Amino acid sequence: MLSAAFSLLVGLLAGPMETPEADISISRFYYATRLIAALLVATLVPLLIDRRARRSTN
Amino acid sequence: MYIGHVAAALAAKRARASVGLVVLLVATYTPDWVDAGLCLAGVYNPDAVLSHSVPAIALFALVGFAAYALGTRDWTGGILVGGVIVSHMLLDWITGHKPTWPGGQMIGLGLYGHPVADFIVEGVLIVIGALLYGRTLPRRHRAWMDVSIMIGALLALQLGIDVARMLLKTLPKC
Repeated sequence: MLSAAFSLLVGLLAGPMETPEADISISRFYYATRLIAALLVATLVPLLIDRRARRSTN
Repeated sequence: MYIGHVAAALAAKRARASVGLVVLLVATYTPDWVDAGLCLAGVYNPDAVLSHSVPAIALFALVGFAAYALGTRDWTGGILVGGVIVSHMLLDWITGHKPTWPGGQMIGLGLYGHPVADFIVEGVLIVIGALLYGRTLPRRHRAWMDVSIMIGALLALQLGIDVARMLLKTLPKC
């Protein structure tokens, strides 16, 4: 189960399968979505922790 | 640099607590958000001249300063927001190879090629930033827990990206 999840994560990070007929726009959309997801995670995680910390002090 | 940029936002929060953390986090990742937009638009340049070069960063910092200062009338806060945007370029020079000028030299220590060293450097920045941020929280019993959660979560994210870099030959941005 854990190894399957890890393989899925590595596959997602590695990128779409390269095939001769691969559509460049799909690949571009994939990478842009991955970058946006990474930026959202890096932004939302500290924000949520900050929100929790300030709420619990009230 | 990935999560190390959050450290700049956290440290800036300590410098001026009235500036919202969300503003500082958006500021610290501004060049990467621009990269995401360029990638979607199909005009992404792997050299990142349009997003990470000195003139690009100077423009973003000026826009960030103006937007925040004019929107809030807090000029000092605006300078801080601009400074956080500039910090992105300086921190990226530690971990990557980034452009100085269109057609100019690429500079940087390139720690991305050494994930363990990258994790240590970014980890130290994360700890320093989180400790400074902790001073902005109201004093209460077990306040160290909030800072510990922040450090732990950010280090876990950084570890994830460094492990991915060790496992994968390339991790293209776009």
